[in-house]
Amino acid sequence: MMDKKSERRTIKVNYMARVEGEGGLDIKIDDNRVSDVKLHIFEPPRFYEAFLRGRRFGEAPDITARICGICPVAYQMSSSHAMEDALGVKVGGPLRELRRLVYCGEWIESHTLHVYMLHAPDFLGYPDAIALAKDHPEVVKKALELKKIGNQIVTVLGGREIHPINLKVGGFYRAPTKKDLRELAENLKRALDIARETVHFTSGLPFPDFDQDYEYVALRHPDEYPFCEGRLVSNKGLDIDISQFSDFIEEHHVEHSTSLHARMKGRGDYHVGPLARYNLNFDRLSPESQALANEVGLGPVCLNPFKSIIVRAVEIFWAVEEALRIIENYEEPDQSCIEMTAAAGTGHGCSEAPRGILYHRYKIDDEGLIRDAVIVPPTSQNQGMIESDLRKFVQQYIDLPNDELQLKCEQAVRNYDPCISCSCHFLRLRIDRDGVQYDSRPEGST
Amino acid sequence: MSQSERTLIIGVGNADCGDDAVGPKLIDELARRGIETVDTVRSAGEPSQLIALFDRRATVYLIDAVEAIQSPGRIHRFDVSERALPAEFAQPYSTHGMGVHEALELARAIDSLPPIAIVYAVEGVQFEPGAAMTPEVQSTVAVLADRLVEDLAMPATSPE
Repeated sequence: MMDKKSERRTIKVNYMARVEGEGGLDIKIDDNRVSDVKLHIFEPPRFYEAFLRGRRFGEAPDITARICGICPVAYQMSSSHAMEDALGVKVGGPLRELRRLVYCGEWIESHTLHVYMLHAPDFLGYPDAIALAKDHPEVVKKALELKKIGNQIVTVLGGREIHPINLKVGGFYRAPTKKDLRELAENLKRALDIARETVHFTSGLPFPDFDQDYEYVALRHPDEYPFCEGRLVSNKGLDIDISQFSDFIEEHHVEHSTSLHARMKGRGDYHVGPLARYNLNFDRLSPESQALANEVGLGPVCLNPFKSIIVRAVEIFWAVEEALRIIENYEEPDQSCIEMTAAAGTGHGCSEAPRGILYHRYKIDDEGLIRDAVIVPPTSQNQGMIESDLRKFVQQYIDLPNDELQLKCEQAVRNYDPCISCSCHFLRLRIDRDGVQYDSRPEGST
Repeated sequence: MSQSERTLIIGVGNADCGDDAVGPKLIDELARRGIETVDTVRSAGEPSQLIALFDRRATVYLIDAVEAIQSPGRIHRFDVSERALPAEFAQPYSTHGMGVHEALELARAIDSLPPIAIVYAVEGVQFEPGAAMTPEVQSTVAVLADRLVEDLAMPATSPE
């Protein structure tokens, strides 16, 4: 326990494992009060918005997919929808269903990776997934099996599992056959059982009391749990067309991050991701998914960000169900994509990446060349929220020794499954507690 | 011969990222030499994919680039059948801090590591997207292919 009479304490996590990209965390504690929290993102700026300028509109999905190896489909979906919006084209029928199917694959693989390999070790007191696997090999075997089916879906529809190459503005280069998808269905039926077990597994983890009054922001579709379409809504009155994104949400630069922060104009930080989607769209989940969530005591609203691990598990179950539904009803399209002619215009696209809403806006000229691009990834939007959580969370656990506090902080950051490459692999935590410095990764260490 | 008895050689890396291409280029070189007694595959190194590739294999070789510790082009051979990669070669450079080392150790923990697992690690210095391989690493491709041919001709547990 810390000496309460000391004046300043600093905890620094220089690099935190099990997040995507490079970042660190500095926490200052003065007289047992958290005085400052900074989520440092020092991943170099990647300038995607700049080098998209002058490229053809059809290149955006393949270029932006390279932003992230975990959620490339999200980038392909948001950019394709934005270009189609600019050109006045609507993709429907089997092509729309195939887009939902490939997104199911991405959610399954990304969420499964996070639930079992990145976040579960925190709850169970293991340093990493390898240590967890040594004690619980059967759990990890099933996790790998579940992730594999997500990878398979992306491979069959996308041509390969990382940075898929078969998706394009207007649809696909090649549409899968019924036979291609039937082979997936057999594995998905097995995955449904593992996904159900995953919901039960996550719901049995120990959770700190940490209910929060966030503004949740997500897409909401009239009929469906959202992927690529719908209005942008919140639990605090936001209800806008995605074309109004920049009217209500602004990006701003902070000195300690190479990634822009986003905030709701006049309101401040907001929360995107599985918890936001779930709380705003519970009624759009399948009856089976709703029943499963209720069965484990989650209910229609979850306000504790640590329980986002259960929500991710419910979303995995739903995505497996949805993938099966799409495959059972699949009719091969007459053409694999809708061809379109270049025309000047501005288009908006917003889709639900595994980590939350991913907004794209493009302005193209009459030759189809990109003149302006804006990309707002989910982790950018959640940075302020992560810092806000840590201010409250550290205060709640302020008497813990620094090393235990560090683990709690890392767990809290991982609630957001932050992808710093999209907006960071390691996070360095530094805590300044009444002037006493703590550094999880001192200079010169590896 | 059933597939599980065929040795699998996995070229890990990104063919478009400078020296990271050494694994994929080695696979190309084996194809060029017409070596048909083994199976070969390229991989980005994602752990769940690697573990799926290990399934029912008796022998697996992984060829990967590592950030230069001593000199670019230096080749290291590790028998990881019984023990983990040395710490300096187990750095998590891949997505979410999970790469070849994590795949091997996860596989070991769930009893899915092939009985014989060998890693060839080649030191590189240039890993930027779009970059060419450095001459030092480029020249190791033929050397690696020769060493694999020698390995395949003898029990795979030869000294490092």
